[in-house]
Amino acid sequence: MAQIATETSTSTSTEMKKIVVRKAGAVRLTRLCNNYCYGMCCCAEFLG
Amino acid sequence: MPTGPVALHDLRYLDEGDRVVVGRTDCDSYGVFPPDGAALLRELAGGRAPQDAAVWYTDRYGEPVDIDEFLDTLRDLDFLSADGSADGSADGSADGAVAHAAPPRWQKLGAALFSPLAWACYAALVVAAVAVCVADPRLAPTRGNVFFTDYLLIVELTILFGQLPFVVLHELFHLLAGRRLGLHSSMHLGHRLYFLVAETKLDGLVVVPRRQRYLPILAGVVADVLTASALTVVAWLTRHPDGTVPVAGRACLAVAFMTLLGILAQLYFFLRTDVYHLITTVLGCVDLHTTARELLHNRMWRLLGRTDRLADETRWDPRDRAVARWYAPLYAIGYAAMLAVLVFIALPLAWHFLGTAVAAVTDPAVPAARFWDALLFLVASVGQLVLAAALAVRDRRRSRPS
Repeated sequence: MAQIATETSTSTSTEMKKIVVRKAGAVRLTRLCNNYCYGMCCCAEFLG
Repeated sequence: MPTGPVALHDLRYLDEGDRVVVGRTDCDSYGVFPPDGAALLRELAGGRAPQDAAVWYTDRYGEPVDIDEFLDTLRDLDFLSADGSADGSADGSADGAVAHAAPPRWQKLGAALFSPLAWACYAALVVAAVAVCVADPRLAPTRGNVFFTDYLLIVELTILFGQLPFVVLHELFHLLAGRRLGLHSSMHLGHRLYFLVAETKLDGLVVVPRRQRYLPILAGVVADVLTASALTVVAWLTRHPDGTVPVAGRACLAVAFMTLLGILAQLYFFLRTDVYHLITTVLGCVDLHTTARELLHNRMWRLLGRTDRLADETRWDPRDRAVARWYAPLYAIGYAAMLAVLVFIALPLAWHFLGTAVAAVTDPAVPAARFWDALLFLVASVGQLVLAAALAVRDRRRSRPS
């Protein structure tokens, strides 16, 4: 059984349907720990 | 090829019409299958041997299938158990051939956190916060709340460290909303461009029906709103009899304001914030970010005549490809704008602070406290940039094929 399958696969591999499976995207939910620009602007104003 | 049934891990299927997302939630490995591929996988999972499944496929769809390559794909996705045969399955069963994963911890806590009773409490808290702001407009969130004391050092430290527990709370809400659905979610420190971010890995959402994904995606913003509301109410509770707010109450208002600012930062959707995931869920995308990035890269390589470097466009999901046409320019503009902010605003300001610090050191007339204020701020800000850069290097090393 296995031998027959191997032969079939080899001889007709170009005619066989290849099932395309895509990778699903990663889901990473986030929170920015900082806002550099805001903090720096505030402090720049504060320092003068 | 195995002659008997193959052992598959416990798989979850999400049928979305023209595609079926299948994956393991225990180790976060997911693939997007065409409907016929998913049907073939179900036959294998049902205990049919690969040879029989191939014959079944031919009978059903009228053409032979490359079953060897399909098994290789399943192996790449870690869907097959260690030796790939039914005898090696976790429960030792030959039929059905499914290795079951343990449910995640804190599932009940997640359910309680988003129960109707909890939602009623959250609504009451937000209403209370709005009410105290209406009663005393000084408690309303404004930019001036940040400077709750004349001591800049205290402002810096409060903003830097006062937010941390609430950043964790934001991620904890994501995490528990995922656990509630039986997903193995986890928390990490990461980066987006040069921003340091706390992130919750919730890859398992891809096998959850889209309407059930909104709560885990929005749970973090819910936590932010509750944080700002609770801090505002606490500030109101600390008021003196004459109506003035003590420094502790004003510190609460400062952190509340920064927390609300964190919600606005979610609008940087091109940095793959929560709003990005919200948009892609609404639009029915699979991996918009990667498709948009590859689309831009391919355009660049075509312009440079380096067609050997093109990404394989046949692997893009049709919906991702369609949305990427207008998303890719926004993504590029967003990144360019953020880099422009870094180069033209953030770094010059950091340079200004360095100059201030050096001037304070060399000028004996400048109070030492003022110098240390500026220096600590600089160290904290640059330290975060360095940490973000270190995480970027780490991620790049991890993503390299071994």
